[in-house]
Amino acid sequence: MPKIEKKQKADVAIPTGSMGDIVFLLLIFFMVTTVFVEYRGISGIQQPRAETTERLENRRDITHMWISQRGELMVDDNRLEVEQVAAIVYNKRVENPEIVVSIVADVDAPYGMVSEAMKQLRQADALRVNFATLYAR
Amino acid sequence: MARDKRAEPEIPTASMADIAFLLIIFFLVTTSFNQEMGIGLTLPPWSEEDVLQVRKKNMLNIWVNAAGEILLADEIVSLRQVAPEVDRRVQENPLLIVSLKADRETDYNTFIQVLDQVKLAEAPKISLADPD
Repeated sequence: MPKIEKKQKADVAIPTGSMGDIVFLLLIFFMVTTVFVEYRGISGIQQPRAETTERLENRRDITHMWISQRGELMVDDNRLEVEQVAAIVYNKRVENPEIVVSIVADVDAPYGMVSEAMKQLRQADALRVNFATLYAR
Repeated sequence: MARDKRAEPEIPTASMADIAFLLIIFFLVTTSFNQEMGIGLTLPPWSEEDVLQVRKKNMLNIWVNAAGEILLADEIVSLRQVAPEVDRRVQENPLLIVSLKADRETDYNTFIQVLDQVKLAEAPKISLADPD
């Protein structure tokens, strides 16, 4: 076995003096880039409560569909007629095949509207849906 | 004028990083994104004609009318009876498909309550029938 000579190493040290600046930069970066969605969809929607409510994974894949008490419909930020849902959602599904449509409907919304919307979703091949509910106490 | 010989004042910056990290951690912990919640379901693929043929004994029809009354396999039941009844039938026949059909005028809340009960009974297959 050949003997390996130990090299004399220089004293290695990472300068930590500017660590604070780096961390502050990070902090400021996140503060500036973070966008909180303050309000979206139709206001005044009262979600139903259900015992089997589950948490949804993958926030990124979620597209919201809002249905108000009076039967107004919105997909993400677009006010639509029910017949237009399939076309819009289909485009979204092409962009993201993992799409989950979360139906946020008011407790007093007519079921016929929800049913029509689901029919449109099926036509758009967006088959994963979620009925937005709150935990039942 | 003679200048005072003072020691140079200095703020120690060594713990700056720790302070900033604490801030970051504080915001990390206190920030709460509104978590999405709900009842998940997978819809059947769209087909023009209703091709799905299911044996009648594997079907359990639940109908909800506009007034919110529930008809479970030809019997009027209350909301609280749905889960035990579905559970019992699923125990008897694990292949059971629960078909939930609501009227157009049924309010969404009633529909969700019934769906919730069916989910609670751990029905293996739930189908949503189109209203007439």
